[in-house]
Amino acid sequence: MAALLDLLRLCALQASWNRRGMQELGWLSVAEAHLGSLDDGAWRRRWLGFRNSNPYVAGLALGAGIRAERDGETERVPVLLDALSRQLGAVGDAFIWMGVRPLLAFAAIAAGLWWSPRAVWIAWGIFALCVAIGLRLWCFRRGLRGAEAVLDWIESDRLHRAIAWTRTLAAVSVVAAAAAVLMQVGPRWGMLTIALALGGVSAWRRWPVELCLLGLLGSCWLLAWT
Amino acid sequence: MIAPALLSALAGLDRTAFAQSFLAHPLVCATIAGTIAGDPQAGLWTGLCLTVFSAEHIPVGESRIRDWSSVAVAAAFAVAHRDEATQGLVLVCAALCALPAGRAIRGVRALMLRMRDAVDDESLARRPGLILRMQLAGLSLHLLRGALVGTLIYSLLRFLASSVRLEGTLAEGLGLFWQLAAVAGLPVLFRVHVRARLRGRLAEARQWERA
Repeated sequence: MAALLDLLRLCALQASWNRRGMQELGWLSVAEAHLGSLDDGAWRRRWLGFRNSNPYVAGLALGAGIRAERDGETERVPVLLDALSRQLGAVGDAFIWMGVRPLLAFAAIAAGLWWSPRAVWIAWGIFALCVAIGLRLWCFRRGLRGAEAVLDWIESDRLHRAIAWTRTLAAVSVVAAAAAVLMQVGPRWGMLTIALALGGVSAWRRWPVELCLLGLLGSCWLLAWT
Repeated sequence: MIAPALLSALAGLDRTAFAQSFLAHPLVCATIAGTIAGDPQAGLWTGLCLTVFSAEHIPVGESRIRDWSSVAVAAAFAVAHRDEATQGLVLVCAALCALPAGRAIRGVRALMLRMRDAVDDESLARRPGLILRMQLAGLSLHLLRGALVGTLIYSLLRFLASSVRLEGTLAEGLGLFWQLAAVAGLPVLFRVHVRARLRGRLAEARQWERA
């Protein structure tokens, strides 16, 4: 039951996200379950402030902060939370946002087009179970072992190899998804060339997506007209 | 109308406020919406096109917020069992709705900021119940926003799909657009994921050589 409550609070880390403290209230609500009975609320003053990190791995910093409060190292807590949240933000963004998430999404696109849309459901299940639930709980448990355990994890070769590999696999899955899309459209070379050229210019010039779409719509209408 | 509102509400919640379990990804929510509407292939293609358009987007911290989740749900319900020209029209309108729909997210965030500013740090430190209440308020606002925006966009797209008669070259052009929209987004995907990775690998190799 306690683990379920921890998970729910960790999942709601960004529920009241705002520009002043960002995840501040989410962090406080997770810590409340573990430190609520400590004292008159002095710990809450230490935890208030600008808090922002990757939501999947922020549990490491949270756990380490809770451990430091329990061990009486109270003066260390604000610095610890601040330093770890920044590092974990960078690690989590590289691993999840640029690695695992695109890897699963584009692998699901390729499998969905070549096999069945059920592949997307499977990808969702894998991500929800392994990352949204599993990784969150694991990070929080590891964080509760102390700041040293968190730093060991951040500095470990295994983590950085995993980040490099997932990003490489994500790039491969993008190629597979692109091949599946092109096969789905078929060998209509003229149309494909126009769409790819327009997309290329849009990617190169960093056009907003709306401009690229309207350009493509105009090109398609011209193609149909001619 | 209930299914798009419900799914859009859940996706709106999953986007940043709760869990971030991948449900809010346009590919996932559009495929689920397509399956519920009885046309999973059209849902998958809609989700794929919107995924490609949103390749550069990360749910927190962007300057121009676009709500791809609500748009994906509404579009996948609206394109189910339609001809390609209508599907193309719905896709264009859905993609153009993403930016205005993102204004609602900014609105919720502004509201959360005002709520936070209204409470001083001392009150938060003394009254832990206040933290839980603000968290619940944030969850409810995101849920409500998702449901409202999704329903609104779905109503608009369904109206367009059922009332606009497409004929001639315009219908052919929109049919072509439906087929080619995903292709036009592929170069952006390559820039974001493949080129960036190749550059990273090259930099690593150079560093290794120097070491």
